[in-house]
Amino acid sequence: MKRVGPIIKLLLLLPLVFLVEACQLVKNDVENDNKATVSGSSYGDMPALVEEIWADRVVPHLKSSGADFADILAVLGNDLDAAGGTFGYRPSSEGSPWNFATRIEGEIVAAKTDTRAATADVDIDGDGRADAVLQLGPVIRGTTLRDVLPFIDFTSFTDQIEFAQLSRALNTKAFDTVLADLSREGLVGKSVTATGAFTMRKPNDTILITPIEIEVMGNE
Amino acid sequence: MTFTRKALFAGVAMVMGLATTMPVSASAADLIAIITPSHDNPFFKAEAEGAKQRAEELGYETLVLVHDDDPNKQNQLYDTAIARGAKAIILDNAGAEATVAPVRRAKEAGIPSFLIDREIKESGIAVSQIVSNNYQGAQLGAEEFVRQMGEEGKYAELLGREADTNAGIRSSGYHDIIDQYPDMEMVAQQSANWSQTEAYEKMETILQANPNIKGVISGNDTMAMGAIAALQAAGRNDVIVVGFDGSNDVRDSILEGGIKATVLQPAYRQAQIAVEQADQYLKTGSTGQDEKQLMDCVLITADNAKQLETFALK
Repeated sequence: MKRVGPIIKLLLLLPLVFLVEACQLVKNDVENDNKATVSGSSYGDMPALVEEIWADRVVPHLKSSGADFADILAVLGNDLDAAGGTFGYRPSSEGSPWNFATRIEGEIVAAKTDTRAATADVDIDGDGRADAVLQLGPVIRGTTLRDVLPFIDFTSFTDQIEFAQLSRALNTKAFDTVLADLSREGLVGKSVTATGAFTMRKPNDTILITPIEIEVMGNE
Repeated sequence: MTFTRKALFAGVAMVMGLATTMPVSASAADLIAIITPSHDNPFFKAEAEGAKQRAEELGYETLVLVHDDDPNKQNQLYDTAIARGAKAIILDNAGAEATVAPVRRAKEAGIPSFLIDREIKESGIAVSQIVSNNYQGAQLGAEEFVRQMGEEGKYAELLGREADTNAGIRSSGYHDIIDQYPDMEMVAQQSANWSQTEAYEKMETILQANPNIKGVISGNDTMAMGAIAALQAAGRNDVIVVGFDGSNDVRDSILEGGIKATVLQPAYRQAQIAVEQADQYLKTGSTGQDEKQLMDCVLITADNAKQLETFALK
């Protein structure tokens, strides 16, 4: 898959212009609709924003920038920053983790479906050991779907609460779109392909992929 | 349609790599003001010390002040800093709404503000707002809380001061995880205003009304210390308590088998980064960073508590 080189990065900046505008428009629409939250402030309608950008921006971005998971893993094994520099995205400020868009193909070697945070372990090289873990929900952990998007910028949002609501809305959209109807029965042994994103904080962290597309072969 | 123009300008400025600079020469006599809440909470003390030490290393004089979470006092301190001719102000603010005015006043007087720990409601008036990723941290704490609770049982939540965005965001991060487990049941949710003594009293009351409680999740470490003290006084060493901040007090409690987990905010480093960005801004006219920046938090349990010292991992 492609590296996100300087030219592509430039192209990625262009949608920013439109997104900031879209975001502001959404905010203006609900400005008088004082929604009560923990802090008592009014916020933009994040699920509506996600509806607006999901099919047009989020899915296309992940599909076009998602590197083959095997390629990422090959570099990741040695050096997280090298893998991040080649395949990942993060804000430049210190203390931000690397986020990766990816496409993974492999076999489900284990599944944990007796918890609300259901997961499937995926082996990509046939050694029987899990190389990554797919989140199946309904509890979707982390903010990777928000943080992997270079056209989403924290400064454009009111505060952390609104920014968190955006992440929650993205995770909910992913679950509703591709995971809610996925059968949890007999996953082990089946082939799977998925497109999604993951965030890496430390080199030896478990790779937890949030899918935005998933197909389990022979699974209805 | 001003937002469109602003957005376009932002896009252009990013493409241009923020080429606009306004060099200001920094002499050894330049002053940086450091304003935080009361140092009674070791978290704010660590911030102030981190900022002071880094500023002095970079050749600045420092003026360290505390606003005690009083917006009026914060106003006066801002006037003091402006009158003293501070070149930059490092601020952990006294309220997301109330702080907008003094930061703007300083900006108009040519003095840039660099915010740490807490956000304000507007962007474009402070140069930097560097905050811990409270949502990520709260989710880490909540995941560990749920795990230690075995995904089930009655629990209580102690909330921070409501005017503080961080109280809301942490609670929201906790519940975005916990509420997805149907067998986790919240039997009490009360504010103890970040205070240890208040948390002790609230915990006593909660325990009387709910003797079968199995866990307590707290919005910060000082309240977690109050809760564990009340629980231990009642002989309830079985209750799982999780905090937030990563203080040395909670570290010691974890190592003694009291509190089960907390979430480290990199407060010391955060304050240093704010000073570094102030220094770069004064010298080059740009920090090279987005205004609003999130710093990751780290889960602290018995496994890594020994490495924790003054809001940093060794």
